[in-house]
Amino acid sequence: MSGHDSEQRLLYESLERALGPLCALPEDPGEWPAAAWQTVEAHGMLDVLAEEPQAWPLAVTIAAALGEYPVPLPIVETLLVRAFDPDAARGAPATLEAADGALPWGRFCRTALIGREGSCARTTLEDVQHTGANLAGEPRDQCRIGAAEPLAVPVQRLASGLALLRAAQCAGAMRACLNLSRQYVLERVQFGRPLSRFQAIQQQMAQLAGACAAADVGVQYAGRRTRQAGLDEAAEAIACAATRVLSAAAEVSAIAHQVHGAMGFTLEYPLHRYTQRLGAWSAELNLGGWAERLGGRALARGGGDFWDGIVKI
Amino acid sequence: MHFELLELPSACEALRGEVRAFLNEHIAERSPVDRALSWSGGDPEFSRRLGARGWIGMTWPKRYGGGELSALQRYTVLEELLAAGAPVARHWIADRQSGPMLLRVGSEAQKDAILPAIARGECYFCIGMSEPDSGSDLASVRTRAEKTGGKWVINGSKVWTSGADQAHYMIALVRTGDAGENRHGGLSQFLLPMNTPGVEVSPIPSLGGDSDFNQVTFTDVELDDDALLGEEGAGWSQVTSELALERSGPERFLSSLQLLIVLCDALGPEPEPLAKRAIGECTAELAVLRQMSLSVAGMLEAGEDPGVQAALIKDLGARFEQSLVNTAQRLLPIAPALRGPGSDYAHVLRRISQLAPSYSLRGGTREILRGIIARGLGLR
Repeated sequence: MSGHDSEQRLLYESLERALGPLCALPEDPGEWPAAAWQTVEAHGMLDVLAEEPQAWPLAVTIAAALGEYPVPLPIVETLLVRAFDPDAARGAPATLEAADGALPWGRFCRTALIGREGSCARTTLEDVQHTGANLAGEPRDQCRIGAAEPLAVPVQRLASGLALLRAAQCAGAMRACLNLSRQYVLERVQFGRPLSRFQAIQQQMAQLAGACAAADVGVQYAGRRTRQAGLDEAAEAIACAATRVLSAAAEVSAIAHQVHGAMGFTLEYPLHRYTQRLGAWSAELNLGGWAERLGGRALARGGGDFWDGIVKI
Repeated sequence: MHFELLELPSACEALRGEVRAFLNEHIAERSPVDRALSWSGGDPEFSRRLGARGWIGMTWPKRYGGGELSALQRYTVLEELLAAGAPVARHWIADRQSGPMLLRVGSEAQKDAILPAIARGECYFCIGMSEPDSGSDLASVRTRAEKTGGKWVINGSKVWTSGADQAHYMIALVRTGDAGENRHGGLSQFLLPMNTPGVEVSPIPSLGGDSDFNQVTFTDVELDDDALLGEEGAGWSQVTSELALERSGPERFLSSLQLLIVLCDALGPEPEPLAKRAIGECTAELAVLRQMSLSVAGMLEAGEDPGVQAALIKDLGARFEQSLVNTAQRLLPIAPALRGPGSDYAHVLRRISQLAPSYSLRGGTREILRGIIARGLGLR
């Protein structure tokens, strides 16, 4: 294992230790879980981009860990707000407008980044008009917006950053689906042998693993491109990650449920926590129109430059 | 099942420019439908020119005619050749797997005699693995070599052998002893000159059209002792490492790139949103496969054994490439036509429609690859 690899592993283990216990929080906690948030703040994960603006691969790793350990707190959102708004308050959560216009965890946040005429603006959140939830039960709220202060950040840049980290969360959730499915088919016995001994199951599991690996490579690559070139220049790599993650997520979710049988359909068993998040986050990514944009650029370049376009992504 | 990202060094980008200039000079006139043959299209003259340019056997030691360049430089040249649909078939197998096998397990005499000729683009190889009764179950091969009076005498038959009619050598996997309990014993590889008396090549007409698919029979084919490649009885482990070389390269997802190219041109710059979306999905899939494949090139360079990752890329690549025909027909329906009047799009679509079934068969079937991946997951 290379130096880079072992560094990544140490980081991932520290995230696992911090996030693992917080996964038990309810999706809708009723009141703000201040102690849990304090744990997250103390870890330092919220400030990685504020402290080091190029640290996108690190942010991708954190987001992937949040996919595998889906702590119901606005961690990705706060991390991004602090990256784009140098004056964002520390110690408190913040949110931003998701692709569907909702404010994740808006009910617990005092400030948000929203889009205003192509740019980002920092705004206060006055009161909650509607408390909603996405497919996985994560809070998605509508709030009354207070005074808006424009920031010198194009709204598209914010959308790219959010798409990259949502895609990374999906890759992490897929990893969880793979691990759960692997464990389940090794343990579950039917017809006198573990499911893992059936070729039909093995073939599906191989497909599941392929989709997970592709999603993972897609987001890692986009993270690296963003570190090198910034969010604007890396927009195509991010579009690739989002697009590949979408097709992988659908496949992973379907296979994971299939090999789990009825067990995966129950609320008692944890599979749904990942597959429903994959559904919710996929919907957000789909709204971003990433595939269409990516294809539009390829078509504008024309067939003769199609390959060069791939090489330069 | 980890893929560590790899970045091509900047030297590779300069090399990429050189390859493009070379291709512009030598195959500018090649038609899209010929380019669509991908690495099953061959031209001895092209192979010789490529060899003269130093782009065959690039990573091999200079004393064997190689260029002592990195695997990543080689990768850059390969992907450019494939993306352009260059006629690489004649030397492809020799450069990709036979030469590296010789380097790894061949005798000095074998290496001296053959590697420089491969690197010049003048010596071609074919793969002697499948047999009439042994496809995916490769360990069941029955072609036999018996040692009599200081000679090996080979009898049996190989099938689905691409390029056997033009190859100078076959590396043949044959039985030299008992299989033993795990079925993998008693196999050996031979370096078999195709002009040896008793070797007969008969073509097998296929959906590949102009491509060169064959059956090869061996009737009392006599080989000297020094035709044994590597160790007697070590054929199984040799052949599995050969397959890792065969499975992970960019040819596993760039075989039908020409279809995407002509499809983009046929759609024009502003098609309906759903068409843009579908092209975007293809772009994303290709870009990610390329990163996965680069990662495996890095692992091979570092001396690791990426057998599972290679299987995974080949499975994903074949599935993607096979889906392209349907994507194209969905976006821009047309009657495929191979010759005569018709657009490049219709011609290429016909060719790829006919070649596509082979993508998940050649070099290891989908089922075998998924079995390898499942073993990597600890499920078998």
